[in-house]
Amino acid sequence: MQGNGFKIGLTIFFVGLCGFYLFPSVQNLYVNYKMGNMTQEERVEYQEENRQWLDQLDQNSLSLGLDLQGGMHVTLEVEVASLLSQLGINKDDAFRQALQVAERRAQNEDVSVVNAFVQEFEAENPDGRLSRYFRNENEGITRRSSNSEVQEYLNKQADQAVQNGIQVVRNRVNQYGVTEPSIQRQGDERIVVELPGVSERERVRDLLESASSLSFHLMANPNQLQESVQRIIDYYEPTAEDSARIAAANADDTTMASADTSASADTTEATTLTSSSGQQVQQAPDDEGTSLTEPGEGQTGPQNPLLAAMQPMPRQDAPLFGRVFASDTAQVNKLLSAPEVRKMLPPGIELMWTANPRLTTQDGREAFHLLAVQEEAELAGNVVTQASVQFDRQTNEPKVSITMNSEGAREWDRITAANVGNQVSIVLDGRVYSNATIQTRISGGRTEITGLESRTEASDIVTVLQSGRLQTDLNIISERTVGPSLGEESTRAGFISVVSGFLLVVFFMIMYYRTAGVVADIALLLNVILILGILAGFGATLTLPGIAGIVLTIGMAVDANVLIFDRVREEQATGKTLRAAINAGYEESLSAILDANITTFFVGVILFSFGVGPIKGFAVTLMAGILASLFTAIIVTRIIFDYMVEEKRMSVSYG
Amino acid sequence: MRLFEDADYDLIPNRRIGYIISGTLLTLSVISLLVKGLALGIDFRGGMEFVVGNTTDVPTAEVRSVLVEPLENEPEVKRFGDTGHLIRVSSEKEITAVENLVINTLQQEFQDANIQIEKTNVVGPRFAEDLKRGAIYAVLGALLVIFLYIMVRFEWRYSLGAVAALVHDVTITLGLFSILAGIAPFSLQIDQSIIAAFLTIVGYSLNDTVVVFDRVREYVNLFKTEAFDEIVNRSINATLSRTVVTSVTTLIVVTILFIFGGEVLKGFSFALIIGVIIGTYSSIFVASPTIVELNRRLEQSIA
Repeated sequence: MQGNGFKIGLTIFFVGLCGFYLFPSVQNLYVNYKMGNMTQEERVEYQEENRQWLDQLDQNSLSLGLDLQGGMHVTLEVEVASLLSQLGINKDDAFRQALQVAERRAQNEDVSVVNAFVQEFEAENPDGRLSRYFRNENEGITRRSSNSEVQEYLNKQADQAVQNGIQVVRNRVNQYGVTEPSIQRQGDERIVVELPGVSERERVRDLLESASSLSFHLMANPNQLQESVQRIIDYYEPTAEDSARIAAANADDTTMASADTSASADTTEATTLTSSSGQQVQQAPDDEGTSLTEPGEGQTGPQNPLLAAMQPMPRQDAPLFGRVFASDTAQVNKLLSAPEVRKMLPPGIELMWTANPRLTTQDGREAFHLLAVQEEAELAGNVVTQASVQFDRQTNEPKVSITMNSEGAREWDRITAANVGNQVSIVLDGRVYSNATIQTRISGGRTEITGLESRTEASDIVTVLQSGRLQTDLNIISERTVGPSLGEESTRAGFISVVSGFLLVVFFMIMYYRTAGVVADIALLLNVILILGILAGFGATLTLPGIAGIVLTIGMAVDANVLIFDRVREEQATGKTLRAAINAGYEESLSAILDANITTFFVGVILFSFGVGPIKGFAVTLMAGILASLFTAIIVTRIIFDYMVEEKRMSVSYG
Repeated sequence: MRLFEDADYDLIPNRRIGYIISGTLLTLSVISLLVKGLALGIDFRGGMEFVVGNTTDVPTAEVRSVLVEPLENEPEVKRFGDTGHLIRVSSEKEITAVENLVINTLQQEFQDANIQIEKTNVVGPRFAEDLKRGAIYAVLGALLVIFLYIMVRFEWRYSLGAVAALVHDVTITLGLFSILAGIAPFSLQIDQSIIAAFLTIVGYSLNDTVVVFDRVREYVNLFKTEAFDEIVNRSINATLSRTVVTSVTTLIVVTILFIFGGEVLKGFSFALIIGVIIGTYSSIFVASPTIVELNRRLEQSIA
């Protein structure tokens, strides 16, 4: 047994680590089982009480792939060709032809649109300079810039367009309200979006594919807006009948409602303390806002559903409709989308969310503002030629400096002149990135946004201005959706396969190798736990092909032990003692085991690098399976045999 | 239980039987691949695929015939599992439009069944092209890496033997896919998961081959006086028990996947079943004879 201390320690360490990573998943299973036994109300209450803990559990659990839990998997591609077309000035036939060929080549070959475009252009026009199409002093592209400089600039623009696309997609997905969406960049021009549990295919497609562009909007008159706010709140005010009916129907609900009210009163306090909005005005103590929240508080009847989800924030200086926690935005969207309600808004006014949370509470909840913006844009974002973060010379506060082209500057002059004192907003894709009060008439096209909270806020606005001024077109190039029932069926099929495969192999091994077979089976069980632990630890998702990988591993993992045991039998046949035979068996078969597994591991690596989607899941479990089986078959079984033979002096049967 | 414990079969001396079997299978496969070709799945061809559920009582032919007119071309319709149908469409139209055409037509025509879309899969032409390229790179890359690894660990002869066995296995499995496509009651189209299965077959077959070669390497040093043919034959026999046991356990699990794994994994697990059988066979009858023949050429050229 000497010298095994390290091996035992290692085994305990790995198993402990896997246990640590798998613990949330097991807990999650148990909680779901428990919740399955509850009544509807009990479940809602339980979820409310333990929301944070449950969210955390979900996050740390081994996640199921979309093919198992149902959902949509969409691959989007940014149309770089249209971007080049937008960037280009003085376009002629040579430009258009190169672009056309480049688009076709990018479709059939492994080359990006930008690089294909530059190659095509250079091939057709050996002396041609690309700089004549893309002159842009602010980006350092002058008439004398070389083609490779232009190429670098175009690649940068394409890259920014993809980043911008990701931002746009993220906003839209958040607006749509999906739990645990995944939005990732793939390669140069693609974005992969995974939306678990989503089944409204058509809506999601429209949501993802619609074009986005940046624009400047004037905003609603704050006073006029507050009248609308009051009217809409009144609209949702429960009538006396409602109160009586609901109060009679369920006494439990009443207690819950009042508990809710006190909670929202708490958060009101918190917001005043940590208010992070750029506007300097504080709420007055006799503010109308306090009186607005009252209807829900005093009564024991039903609550105003709008006030339950949203906190109105009347302001004299900003057209602010209200503040809403991220978890409630879907509910507010629903309430405010009713046609009668829309009619109560001032004419030509639309409600838009801020792109970034304007408040984060101490426990990490984020709140967004709902702003009233004029539907019609005053100015398109493509007039912006430059945007940068600067610092005030005196106060050293960050500010955003914007330069517009001559056409935009003229318009801007007119707009600002007519609206001094009003607010204007920068809107990208239906979300407000910044809203500021116009201080003076701005002539000459140079604008500054001041009074910003932080450098980050300033650079966020600059990013939006720079990347959003061009229209980013996103196309769906691949889509996979799986309905929840099919997903459930696949999960069941996978589970049955794993269990029956495992049992049969276990049975076979005991039949064939007797005692040694039992040891190999212990290793096999540990192997499956290790694979799941590795997957959970690396945050991988379990897909159906991934489960197939586990089943396959169960069959192939015993191979290492088969090699060892057969060798032990051979050594025993030559007359060696059990102990010597075991030693020789492990030593002599090691090279074959390693060679065989390393090559298979390479196959897994290659599969992982070239595969897409679920295939990656298969490759991951295959690789995890090889690592786990090497460990359990060589080290764990050896510890057990050593213990049995040397410590307990047992005679082990190899069948 | 002991199988093939003191195995002493004349496998290498009778390798010509293996040549005949392999030769026949290879010829049939290549002919079928050239004549009939492979049915490429949506991953590599592009197009749209819809699985509709609750169509147990609706005949496949009827599904096809009612869809021809609205879709303006004939879709491919197959049974999917026990309760549904798989509909493949190649259309230039937008996804949403096609999807609505399919579901609305079916719901109208078969009003008794509560037909619903269970699954969609859409692959654009450019994406399909990329997937195809990725698959080709993956297969070639795997073969190259394996060749190099074996060359480093063993000798070039062994490397050639291993790769010969791999090419043999993949060709025959592909050939069977080509021959059986349309005959088998499940989809045998080549898609990404089939490529994954092929690479797994490559890994498995190699695993088997490496174990035999490892023993050959050991015995070459142990039995210096014996002829190479005999050493190889002895090695195969010595590892025969292990070869069979591992094949059995692996076959158990892939058969279970085939039976219980659901419609999605049918083609995948079918490829694995074929692959495990052929891979086991090839390490004995293709890889080992190859190194014997190569050794023979080598000795002749020296002599």
